[in-house]
Amino acid sequence: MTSYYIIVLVMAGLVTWLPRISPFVLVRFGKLPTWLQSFLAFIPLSLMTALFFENLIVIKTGHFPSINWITVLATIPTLLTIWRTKSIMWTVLVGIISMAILRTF
Amino acid sequence: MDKTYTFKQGVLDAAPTMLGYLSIGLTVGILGVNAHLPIWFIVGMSIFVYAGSAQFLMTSLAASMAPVSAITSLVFLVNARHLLMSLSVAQKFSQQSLPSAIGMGSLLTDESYGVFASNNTNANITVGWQHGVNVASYLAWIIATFVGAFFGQFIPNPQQFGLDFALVAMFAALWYFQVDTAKVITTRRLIITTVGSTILLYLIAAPFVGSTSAVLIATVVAAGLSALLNAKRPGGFK
Repeated sequence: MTSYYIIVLVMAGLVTWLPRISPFVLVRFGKLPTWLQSFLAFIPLSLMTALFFENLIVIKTGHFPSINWITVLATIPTLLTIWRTKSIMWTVLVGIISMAILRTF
Repeated sequence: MDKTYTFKQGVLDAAPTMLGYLSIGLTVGILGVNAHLPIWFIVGMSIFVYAGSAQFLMTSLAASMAPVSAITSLVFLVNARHLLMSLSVAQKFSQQSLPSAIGMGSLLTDESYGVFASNNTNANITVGWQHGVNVASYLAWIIATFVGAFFGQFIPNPQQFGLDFALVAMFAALWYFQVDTAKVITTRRLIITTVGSTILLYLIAAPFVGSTSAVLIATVVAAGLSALLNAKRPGGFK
């Protein structure tokens, strides 16, 4: 267990640290090609879409995906909150309360 | 009015970021203990990874003992955007020593980059000031995670309070911010294409390869497709 956590920390730490520092070293040599910059620019949008959407769907291997209704319902006030307030804290708070209310029914 | 860009001024300019970090850091900590992760691991993530979205992701993956390879590749993808931010900061401060540059790059986040970007046009901006912004934000993040993890232990059965939904809410918020920032680099139509193709690819891949791998595949293919379409449209990559 402990070694699993340590390996996760080391690996995740490395793959976070290297993209952060490499440009500071590479800038002494030249620029990234435009196509790579463009690809990297789209990664955050497609990745956050996938990570967010993943929670709204129930996947069982070999089955057709189905909708996670309670999560979808709780997501509606959550998205309205981020749209109106732009605050992650309020959004998380409203999300938690919405889910708590939905679970009592 | 002209301000002097000292280290101390950097710390002061980081105040809104620190406030934001306190709330998100608390959430990371609370979610971590409720996912039954050890406190040293939760705080360790804040010290060695120091990236909110990646830490939320790691929390859910490590809690289910996901393979190290899956965690590593997903964290890499989530944080690949740092390349772009570091690139723009590195170009601005190209005259600093290597240790100082590595220190600056190590503590760069979406938010500290935001503070940089809003001062970038000022010619008097200094290396020391940027370090002030970075170090203050970093410390606030570590402290907040620890406090969250410590007090999170005393919240019994968080599921009942909907606390497990915090992660989804966080992803929803981060997704919204990505859509918002994408407007700077591309058109509304292409944003819809990126989002749509990601969802479609995920739905097609997930039943066959499972959801974690499907996230990876959908992300890379949709981003590649979008970059291709973006290069073809008039004006190209902005």
